[in-house]
Amino acid sequence: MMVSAQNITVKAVDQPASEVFRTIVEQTGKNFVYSSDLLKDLRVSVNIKKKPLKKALELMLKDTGIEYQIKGNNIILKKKAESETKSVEPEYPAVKSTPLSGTPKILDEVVVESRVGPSPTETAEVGALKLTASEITKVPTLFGETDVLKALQMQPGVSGGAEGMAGMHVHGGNSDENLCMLDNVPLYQVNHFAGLFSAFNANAINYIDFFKSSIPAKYDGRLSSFLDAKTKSGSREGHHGSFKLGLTSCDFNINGPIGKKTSYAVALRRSFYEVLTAPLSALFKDYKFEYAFMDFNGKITHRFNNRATGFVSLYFGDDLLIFKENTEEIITEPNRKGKFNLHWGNFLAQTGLNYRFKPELTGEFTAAYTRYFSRMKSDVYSWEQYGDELFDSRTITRTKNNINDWILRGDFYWQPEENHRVRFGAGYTLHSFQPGNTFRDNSIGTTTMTSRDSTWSYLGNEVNLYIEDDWSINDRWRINGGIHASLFNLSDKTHAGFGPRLSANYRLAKNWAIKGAYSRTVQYVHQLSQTYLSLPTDQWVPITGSFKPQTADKVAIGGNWRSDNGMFEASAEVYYKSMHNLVEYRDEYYLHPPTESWNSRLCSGSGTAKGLDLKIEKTGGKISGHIAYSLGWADRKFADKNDGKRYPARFDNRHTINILLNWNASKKVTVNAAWTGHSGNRFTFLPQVWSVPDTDPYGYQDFSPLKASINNYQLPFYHRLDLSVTVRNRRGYWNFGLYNAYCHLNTVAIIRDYSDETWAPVYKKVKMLPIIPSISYTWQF
Amino acid sequence: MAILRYLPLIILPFILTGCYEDFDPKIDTKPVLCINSLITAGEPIKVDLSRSWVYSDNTDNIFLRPGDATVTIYVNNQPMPDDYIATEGDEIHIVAESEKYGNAEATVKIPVAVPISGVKMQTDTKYSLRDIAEPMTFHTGFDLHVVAQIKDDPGTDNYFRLGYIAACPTGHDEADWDMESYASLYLGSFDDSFEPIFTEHIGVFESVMADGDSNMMTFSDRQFAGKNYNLNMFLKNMGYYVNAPEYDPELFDCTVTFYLITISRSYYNRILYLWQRDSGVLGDYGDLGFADPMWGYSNVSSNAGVVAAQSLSSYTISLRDFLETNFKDNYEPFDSKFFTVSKVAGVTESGNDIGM
Repeated sequence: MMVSAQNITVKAVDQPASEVFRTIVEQTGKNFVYSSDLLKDLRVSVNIKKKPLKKALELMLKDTGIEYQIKGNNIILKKKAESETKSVEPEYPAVKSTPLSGTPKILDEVVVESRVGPSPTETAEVGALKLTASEITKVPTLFGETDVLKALQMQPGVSGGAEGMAGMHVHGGNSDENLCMLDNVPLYQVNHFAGLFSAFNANAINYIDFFKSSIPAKYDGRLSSFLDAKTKSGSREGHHGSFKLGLTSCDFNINGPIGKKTSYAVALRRSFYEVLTAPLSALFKDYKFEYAFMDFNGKITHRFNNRATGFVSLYFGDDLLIFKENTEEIITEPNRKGKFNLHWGNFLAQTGLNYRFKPELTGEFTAAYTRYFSRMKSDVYSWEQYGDELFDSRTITRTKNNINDWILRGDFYWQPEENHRVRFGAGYTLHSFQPGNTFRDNSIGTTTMTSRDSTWSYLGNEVNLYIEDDWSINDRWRINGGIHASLFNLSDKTHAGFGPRLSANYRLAKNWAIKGAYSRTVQYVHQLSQTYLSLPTDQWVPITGSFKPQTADKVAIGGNWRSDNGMFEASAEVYYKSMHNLVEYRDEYYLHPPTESWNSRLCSGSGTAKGLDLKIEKTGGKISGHIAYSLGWADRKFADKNDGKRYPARFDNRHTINILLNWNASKKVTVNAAWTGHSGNRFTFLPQVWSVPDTDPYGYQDFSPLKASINNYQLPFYHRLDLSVTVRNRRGYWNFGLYNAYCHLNTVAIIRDYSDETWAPVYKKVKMLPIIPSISYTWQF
Repeated sequence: MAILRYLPLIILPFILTGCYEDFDPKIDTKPVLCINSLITAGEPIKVDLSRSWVYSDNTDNIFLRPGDATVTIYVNNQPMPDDYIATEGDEIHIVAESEKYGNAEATVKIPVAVPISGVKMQTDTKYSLRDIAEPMTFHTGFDLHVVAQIKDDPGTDNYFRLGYIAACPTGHDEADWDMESYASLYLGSFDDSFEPIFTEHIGVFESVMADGDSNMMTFSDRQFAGKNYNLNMFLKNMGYYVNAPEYDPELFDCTVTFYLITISRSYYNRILYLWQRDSGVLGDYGDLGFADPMWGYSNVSSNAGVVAAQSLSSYTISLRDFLETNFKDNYEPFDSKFFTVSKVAGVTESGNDIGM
């Protein structure tokens, strides 16, 4: 059976074509590919039941000047040539289409625009965003590694973390307040290599949904944002794939059919950072480093019948860092051989069934397991030899840090009327936290001493319920309201969370909309991180003891505009976010030894974030892109930090400007440029020092810095331009990149040091990451 | 030692391509009074008063003694008599006042010493070398394992620091090598990895990111509050060298004295801070902008200085029987191939620093 012959049911009265296409996507799993201005103003009325897809498309597109072509899993839409446009009586009586105005002309086929979504002027959500894989690849990145998180950093209201890293701070929130998901299943570690690269392989991603202001009731569990990366399903028409060879990694992906009803998609990425570090290893002959990361995405989709589609997907991503030392030849110290292994990553497996009970009711049932793990092992053997006598000792340390979630969930979509869409569902998650499990074995000669600590292990139960109604009241009003309720149980303590959500759209005119939204989110787990990097030592821990679940209340008011030809869009959003029961390390937490419960090192407080996000976007044409501006304030207040006084958050970046330009210079050449500039990050600057008695205050390190207010200093304005050029040929394409193209070294910190000339104590700016070129080739088949 | 201590090295391709640039932050800040004092039970109280300064100031012109400041010491809420000797349990309150730099004050309670008891000693001889042609030329290397019991007081949070010192009846140094009779005992190295309590300040983060070795012998009673605890003290690669023209058993009369120093929480915090700064990685990462910068721990109201207190108890172990027996039981000839004078350069007294 040809897939395009599958039967579908569509019922719509004068609805935007893009929304109707979305229901077809949900029923068929196919993607629509079209130019963004093609469906401008196109509204359709259709009432068909169990008709073949081709027939439905013909009915919908009749008299619209648009033709379709089914290629693989994509339905490509483009304007017909004028001579081909003719009027035909509809086959089904309930079909009414509005012809396009103007003279139709043939457009170039759009490369990939594999999603369907209504214009932001039509939806109720504020600050919602869909990014396709092709849009993600348009953002130039370090080493040319396509990066979902760095693409999001170009959006207003989203800040990056440490320089070059993939951290994400949304509307003044912390990085652990973003829920990153693969097909709606949480992924805890979303970075490779301290955050230099993200764990999402863009080749495995179809598109991402991103919510930062109004949060659909379906999502909860984090305070700041929700990122749901939808993975690709395999094509049913043939085998396709690509192989990319870059400076730091290579990746391979392939997808295609298995029989008539089943398809597969596989993506594998592996770094070869060893190549870059090899010269360093040669410099330090007594020490050797090996580092690698890899990730694997696999998905099998099976269509049982017109009603049921099932899938099994797998994700595995890990980092492996090995350090070896051998100081046997250093005669002034004992001989020493050591090997240190760090292995950390994620494993995620899920299976799901999409079932259409009735044309207006579909359900998705998911069983999933997601695991974050981190294992560290060091084995150090040292010895001295005097004649025949050997004096040796060996220390083995092993540390494990895990979180395991078992998830069962049912999500339903019910559309009782054209203007009513109800989503509801329930889920259960069994959490297993093991944030610390250490083993230490010391042996000297024949004597051995072993110590263990495996006391940190918790089981948690989480139940979630949600319901959401998206209601187009009339041509002007559209409301999306819902609630997400949850229970979180750990030991004998149970917390309840209620997250009401409401967003509304009032269309002032055809292309103008004003919106408002309120959402409350609840977070039960949080990440303990002692640095701004993403490291395997970071621990995910639940809310325990006297700490309460973290909550955030957010109000946003915004507006959207879309030009008549659909080429330009603009959005504005004012938000205020109030965060409660935030958990952070208290001041001087390191004075509380880790043998105490981790809670003794933490404190609870509150925070606020407010600001304005502006974005002007050109969505099509030879030159596309956007300019985004954010004005923001973010602060924190903790009883046990900064003497209880309010202080600015680290990413309290007052002004942020992101400019993204994509120029299709020719059919073969595309140029992408991304400029980012923002007020410097906040930094705790300690200008004064004091000395201890009987020491020379001017001596090296003979002083202690004097405490100062947290984040009291703003680093200089940050700015950077990244460029990339893609040159296509028959087999694939080359990508040439320049990170920090005009080589402006940005200040990441201020340190105390000594002048190179006078040896007088001076402050020095630490500047990092100059211009870094990259090159890759992608072979497509 | 642990792997990610070298993370900056791993990301060296990026760091090397960065740079440092001298910088004047032009930040307005005012110096404050700084009080430092380590009060030891049984000794007079001394207070060091100074002031803070901007790190990048021209230090040649800095006078850290605040000339207009006055210091007042209170003992148990009473002004301290001039000849006062600090006593365990005293609450010491120090107040410093200056018109120019403001006021500062701090309070500390002198902890009660906890005796060392139930000491058991074990020696493990590694080698013994005796010149049988000479009446008393002998060298031996050995490990010393001592287990001592600490009886922790219930209801009190105690913090401890361990010290040790070696002594022999005579000794020499390089300048006095021609001394006719000498015996020296050197302590080798204290293997703190053998006592898990010494690593209580090392968590998952520190064990991976920092030097996994303890590098300090400071600990708390958190894990044995109100109970007895057997403390393992392991001195490895100890050495004893004696040379005399005639046999003199008094030259074997060497001892190792262990000090159990009960310290105030402020002293403990100061040491934890120093460990983090010097052996941990938070200091380095904070400097590089990858973590919050660390400021110096202080229990003074101006956030400058540390007022700490300590009380000492000690236990002395005699090695005389062990050394004498070892001397008598061993006749292995001296072999200069692997035994050189430089290997035995000992001291009359040696040990770790027990000051702050």
